[in-house]
Formats: sequence, C-alpha cells, structure tokens
Amino acid sequence: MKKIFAIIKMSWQRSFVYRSTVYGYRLSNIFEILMQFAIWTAVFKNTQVVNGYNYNEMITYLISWLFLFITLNYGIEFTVARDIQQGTLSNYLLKPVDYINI
Amino acid sequence: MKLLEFKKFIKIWFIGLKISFMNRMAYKYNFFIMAVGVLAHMILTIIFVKVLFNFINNLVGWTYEQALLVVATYMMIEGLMWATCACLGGLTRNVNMGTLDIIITKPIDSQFLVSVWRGDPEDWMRVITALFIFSQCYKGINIDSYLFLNIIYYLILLFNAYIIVYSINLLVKTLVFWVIDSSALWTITENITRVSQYSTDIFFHKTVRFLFSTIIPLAFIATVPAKFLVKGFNLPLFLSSCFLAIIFFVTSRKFWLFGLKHYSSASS
Repeated sequence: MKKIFAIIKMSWQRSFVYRSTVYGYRLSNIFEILMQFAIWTAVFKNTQVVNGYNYNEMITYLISWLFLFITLNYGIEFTVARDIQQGTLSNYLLKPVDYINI
Repeated sequence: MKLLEFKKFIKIWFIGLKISFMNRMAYKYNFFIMAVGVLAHMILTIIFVKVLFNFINNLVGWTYEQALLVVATYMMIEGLMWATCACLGGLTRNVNMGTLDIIITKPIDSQFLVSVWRGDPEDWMRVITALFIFSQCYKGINIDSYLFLNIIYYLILLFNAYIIVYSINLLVKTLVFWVIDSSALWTITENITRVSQYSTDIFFHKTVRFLFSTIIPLAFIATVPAKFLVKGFNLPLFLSSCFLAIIFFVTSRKFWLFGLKHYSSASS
C-alpha cells in the first residue's frame, strides 16, 4: 500500500508541474457537464420518462457517469502507445509493479 | 501582386496537406484504423440523436432531420478544421518540441505556416459522413423558391463558422507560449466547440444563451447555418455571423502576434 501511495504522490507532483494544465482540464469538464445537462433538460421538456428514467434519475446517472469519466479517464491508451513507440515500455516491465497501475 | 501572393499561400497549403498525407501513409494500417475510429465516432453521434428522437418528436422545435442537419454542419466544420489545419496542432507541437524557431524564421507569415503545418487526412471522413447525412436529411430542409440562394448563404455561413472555430482555436492555443504543456488546451477547445454539435436553443438560461451567441459564439458554428436551411434567410443573423467572424479573426491574429512577442525560443 505504501508503494502505491508513493506512486500516487509522484504522479500528483508530476501533474502539478504544469498547474495550468490541471485547471484547464477542469475548465473543459465544465463545458462537458453543461452540454450534457442542457441536452437532457431539453429532452425532458418534451417527455416525463425516457426508457423508464425520469429527469432526476437521469441527472443522477449523468453525475455518476461524469464523476467516473473525470476520475478514471486518464488516457492510459495514449500512455501505452507512447511507451511502445518510444521504446520505454521495457523499462516499466522490468519493475516489480503492475505496469497499468503505475 | 496580391493574386500571386494568394496563389503562393494556396500552393504552400496544398504542399502541407500532401506532406501530412504522406506522413500518415507511412503507417498505412494506423491511418485506416484512425479513419475507422473517426467513422465510428460519427456513427455513435448519429445513433445518440436517433435514440433521443425515439422518445421525443422534437428537440426545442427541431425535428429529427433538422437536428441531424445541425449535427452534420458541426461535423463538416470539425472535419475541415482537422483535415486542413489539425486544429492548430502545428503550433502546440512545435512549441512543446522546441522546433517553432524553424517555422517563424521562414520568409512567410508565421501564423499561416503554423496553421498549415499539419492536417489530418483521416478526418475527411467527418466531411464525407456530414455529406451523407445531408443527403438523408433533405426532408428537414425548407424547400422553397429561394432554396438555391439559401444554400449559397449556408456556404457563406459555413465559411464564417470555420473562421470562428479557427479563431477560437488560435486564441486558446496561443496560450501555449505561456503554459508550454498544451494537453489541456486541446481538451478545452474540443469541449468548447463540441457544445455546438446540438442546437444552442437547448440552453434555456438567458445568460448562457447570450454567452454562446456573443462571447463564445457557438450558436454561429452549426445552429445558425442549419437554421438558414430549415427556416430560410435571416438578415440580422447573417450580418452577425459575418461581423463575429471578422472580429474573432482580427482578435485572434492580434493575440497571436502578442503571444509571439513573449515566445522565448528553445535555442536562445
């Protein structure tokens, strides 16, 4: 567990080297959220239920999805592609930790 | 003299597109996978609209075909942006890699060169998909005696929309001179412009509507051009679109030149 926390700490420190990037991502999330809310609000102006979901349930679903999207979408596919292209993948594979989790 | 200058710019742009295509074709399978990926993204967007209209008859006054016209217009603009200047990928990449010096020391306008430095050929798939949607959604178009004129106006508005999206991209991505790491700038421009893929009438709040009509004129990217096809000509909207395109282009140009002054070269 200590090992994992050390990796998380390093990852956070690395992210905050460019603070504006962190703020930029959160700003872009606002537009993502705004669009989703607006479209579903417009849909529910015309109907009470969408496939068994009412407005409140749909918004709850959206918030849950957005939370997962924002926290879990860290672009692992791009990281793996970059490591393969630059030949740095083997460095990680030699380490006694799971590549995907670091 | 001016004509010769214009021809030179067009020629350089085409050379840039050709080089981008050759670069992509160096990894053919990657190119085809990317093209399929883009197509899948477009299909999913259409499916989403289709699913919505299974439960409603109209979305804030737009029928299914009309809503798809907005989506197709957005796809067209987005596709052209990626295919012709890769949403200014040339700027962010060259600042990140420290290779911008090579571009700005060339005897041609640096903004132009950095814009045409890269184009993503797989994104023509977006334009093709948009044309296919148009062919399927003709029911949503207002067919009157002015149809031909409306199509001309629509094309002018598309050009304005391209300029607006280009300018938004330039305004945001010029920030790379200060922030260096550009990854968030990509997401910001993508998420801002993506809001316009549905009619901006979905925003009921007055302040938000005002924001998306003036300060960030997302309404003029897809909604207003599509409105011309659906409801016909509207002079105030037409003039506003032209005015905003000019204002945004001039502002982004000035900001680019301002950013360039603050650029500290990687080599000195």
